[in-house]
Amino acid sequence: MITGVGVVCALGLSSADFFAALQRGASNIGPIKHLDASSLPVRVAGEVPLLTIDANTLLQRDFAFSTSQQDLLWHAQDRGVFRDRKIGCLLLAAQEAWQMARCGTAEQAASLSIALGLEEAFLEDFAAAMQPDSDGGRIDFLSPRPPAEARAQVYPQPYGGIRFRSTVDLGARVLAQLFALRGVHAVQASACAGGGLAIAHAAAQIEHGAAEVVMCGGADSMVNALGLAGMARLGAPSPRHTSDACRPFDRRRDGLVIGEGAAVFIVESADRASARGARPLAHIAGWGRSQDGYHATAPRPDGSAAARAMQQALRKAGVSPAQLGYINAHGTGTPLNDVAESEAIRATLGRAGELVPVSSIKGAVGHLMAAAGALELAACLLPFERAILPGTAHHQQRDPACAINVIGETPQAAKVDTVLSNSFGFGGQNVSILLRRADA
Amino acid sequence: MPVTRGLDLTTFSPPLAVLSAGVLSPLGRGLQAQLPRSATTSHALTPQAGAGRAEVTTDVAPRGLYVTDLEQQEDPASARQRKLMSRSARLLAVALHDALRTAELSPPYTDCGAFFGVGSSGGALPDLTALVRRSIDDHGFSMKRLGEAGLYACSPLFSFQIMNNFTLCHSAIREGLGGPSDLFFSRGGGTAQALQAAAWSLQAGENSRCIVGAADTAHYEMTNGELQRGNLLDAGLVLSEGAAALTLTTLAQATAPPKPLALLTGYAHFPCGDACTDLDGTVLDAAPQATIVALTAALKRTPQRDIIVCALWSQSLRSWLANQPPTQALIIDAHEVLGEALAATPALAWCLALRLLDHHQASSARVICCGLDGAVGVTEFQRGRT
Repeated sequence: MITGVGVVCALGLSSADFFAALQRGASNIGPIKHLDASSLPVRVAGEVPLLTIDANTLLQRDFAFSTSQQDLLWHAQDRGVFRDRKIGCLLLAAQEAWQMARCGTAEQAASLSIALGLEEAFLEDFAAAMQPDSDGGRIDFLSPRPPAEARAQVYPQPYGGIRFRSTVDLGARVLAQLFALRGVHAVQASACAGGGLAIAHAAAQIEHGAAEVVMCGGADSMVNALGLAGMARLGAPSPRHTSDACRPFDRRRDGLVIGEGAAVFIVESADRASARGARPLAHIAGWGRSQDGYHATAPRPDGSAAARAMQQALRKAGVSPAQLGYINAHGTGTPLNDVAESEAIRATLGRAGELVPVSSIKGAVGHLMAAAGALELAACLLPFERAILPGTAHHQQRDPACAINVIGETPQAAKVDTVLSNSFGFGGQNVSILLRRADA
Repeated sequence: MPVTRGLDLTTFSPPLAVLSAGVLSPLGRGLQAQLPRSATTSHALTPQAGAGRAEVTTDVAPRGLYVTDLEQQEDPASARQRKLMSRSARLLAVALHDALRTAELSPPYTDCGAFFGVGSSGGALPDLTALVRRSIDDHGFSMKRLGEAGLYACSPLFSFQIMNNFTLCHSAIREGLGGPSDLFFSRGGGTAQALQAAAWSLQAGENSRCIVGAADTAHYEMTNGELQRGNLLDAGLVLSEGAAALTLTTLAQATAPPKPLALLTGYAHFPCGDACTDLDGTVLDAAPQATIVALTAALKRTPQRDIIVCALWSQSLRSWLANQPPTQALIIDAHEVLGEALAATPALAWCLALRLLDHHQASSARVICCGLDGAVGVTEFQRGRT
C-alpha cells in the first residue's frame, strides 16, 4: 500500500502542485535556465523551477526539518553534495512523502529502494585537472584542489570534498542518514526503467516479508553539461527548441525532452498502514519485468518483450484487460518508442487495446530518466485522488501507427479502479506496475 | 546509531540449484581457475592454528590485481560491440556467456532473468579527455566551447560506456536474454540485493532460470582516483576487478542435466549503517562496530560450516578476522587472492567458494562479504545432491 508521496518536477515542488498542474493540463518545458545551454543541440528541458537546490532551498520549504536533520543538510552542503542537482530534489520529495505518511520513529526501520541514475560529472573539475602531455592532455584525478579563491570563481556550489563526479549512491546515503533509516538500501541502476523497478522491488520486499516499510522512488537530473551533451550525441532529444518539443504519440513527434526531478513513496503492508491509521493512497497490486535483449537504444519493434511485462503485471494483480481503467505510457515522443509501445499495449489488451485510455506526461515534464517511472506512478494517483486521467501535452495529431486510445492535451474526467504504468529503459529493460484504488 | 539486527538468514526452502558459473577474475577464467594455491594444501578442512586463516601467497602487485588477458580471451562480443562497452561490460560479457554455455541452456533465452550488481560508469578516458580538452577556454571549462567543439570531439558510443546498466545490457542484447532483469548499484551490499531479487523471481515463477552476479573494476581511473583520495588504499584496500555469473533455477526445474554445481541454501544482508566513509568518500572508520558485530555473528553462528570465504575490504577488518579464535572450518581470506573488485567482490567470492566446495569435497560453504558500504552479506552453498 502506498501511504505517502512526494514530488519535485517541472510542474511543481509538491504533489499538490503536481496534481493541480496535471488536472489543468499544464506543461512546463522551456529554455534551460540554471546553466547556459545556448550553444548545445539541446536547449530546452523540463527543469525544476529552482536555480539552485541546496540546504538553503530545502530549509526554506514548508517541510519541517529537525535540528539534527538541519545539521546533516549543512554537513552535506559542506561536502559538496548539492553540486549534484538531483539530490536536493530527492530530499525535498522524500520529506513530503515522509510527512504525508505520518512516519515516525517506528518507520525508521524502513528499507530504501531508490533509482538515482548516473553520477553527475563535474566537467569544470576535469578542466581544472587537465595536465598537458605529449598526447595533448590528460586528466589527473589525483591533482590537488584549486585554491579557494579560484574555486569561488568557477564553482556555483560549495566545493566540499566531492570532486569530478558524485557517486551513484550518494543521494541514497544522504537520504538514509537524513531519516535515520535502518533497513537495507537498494540503489537501482537500470536507466529509465530504474524508478519503476525500484518501486517493484519495494513491493516485493513487503510481499516477501523482508521489510515492513520501504521508502522508494527515484530522482534524476541530466540537465547538466555531460548529460545534455551525451543525450545530444545519442540523437534522442527533439531537435526543436520549443515548449512543445516532446509530442508523445503525435504523428509529428521527433524526439524526447530531458526532464529532472524526483518522486518518492512510502510503501507498507495494508495491515500495517491500517493499524497505524495511515491514509492509503493506492495498492501496488502487480508488477512485471522483462528485457528486450534486442538493441542498445531501439525498442523491440513488435513490443513483445514490453508486452510480457504488462501481461505479468495484469496477471499478478488478477486484472483482466477489460478491467484496466487507464495506462500511463512510457511515451517518450521518439518515433520508435511510441509505435513499439502501442504494439505492446495492443498485444497485451487485445480488443481492449483500442479502448483503454492512454496518456504520457513526458510532453509536460520531460523525460526524468531514472526518476521517470516514479514520477509517472505518482501521476497514476491522480485518477484515484481527483477522478482525472492526465492528458498528453502537445499531442494534437493522431498517428495511425499508434492505434491506441491516446488522451489528448485535455485531461479526461473518469473514475477508474486500476491503472498501469509502463517504463522502458535504454538497453532494453522494461517494467510495468499496476495500481488498484485503495478502497476497491 | 545504526542498529544491527540478529543474524537471521533467509533460508531457501527448497534450496535453489546453481547450474553453472562463469567467472573472469585475477585468478583466471572459469571456475577451475578459481583455486588459490594455499587452499590446495593438506591443512584444508583441518583446524588451523591461531586465526584459522589461510596461508595465502598471491601475486598482489603494488597497484592491485588485474584480469591481465582480457584482450586475448575468446570474446562473444563483436569488435563494434566492444567499442560500446566499458571494461566492466567486457568482463561480464565473457563471464555471462560462459555461465549460459556451461549451463547447457539452449537459446532463445526469453525466459531467462538477469539480476546483477554493477559499479560506477566507465566511459573511455580518451573520449572524455578529448571532450574536456576541446571545451576549455582561457578561464577553464566553458559551456559555450562544449557546445561548439567539445561534444563533437568524443564518439557517440561514449554514452553507452557511461551508462552503468549497460554493464549487463550489452550482454543481454548479445545473448538475447528476455526475462525479468534488475540491476543494483553496489559497493558490496548491492550485489546481495541482486541475489535476493533473483531468488524471489524464481520462487514467484517469473522465470524458470536466471543469471545472477556482478561485474566491476576498481582500476577505472576515476574510480581509482576516488579510492586514493579517500585514503581507502591506505586502509588496506587492494584494487581489483572481475566478473562472475551464476545460473540459478529451482530444484524442480533442475531435473535435466547438467547436475547442479551446488545448492544455494541461504542468504542474509545486514545494513550496518553508513559509517565506513564520509559523503565525499574519505575513510571515517575502516572497521565500524556495527559491522564487527554482524561479522562476529556471521562467524559464530556457523561452527559446522566446512568452508568460510571472507571478503573484507579493509586491513582493520581482516586483522580482526585473523585474530578470531580457531574454528573447525577452513577460512579463506578472499581479499588476499581476489583483491577488492567493489560490486564484483561478492560474486567472485561465491565462485571461489564453489570451487573450494568441489576441490575439498566439502559439504557446505559460507561466503561473508563486507564492502565499502559497511553492509555484511552472507551466502550459503551446499554440495549438489540431485
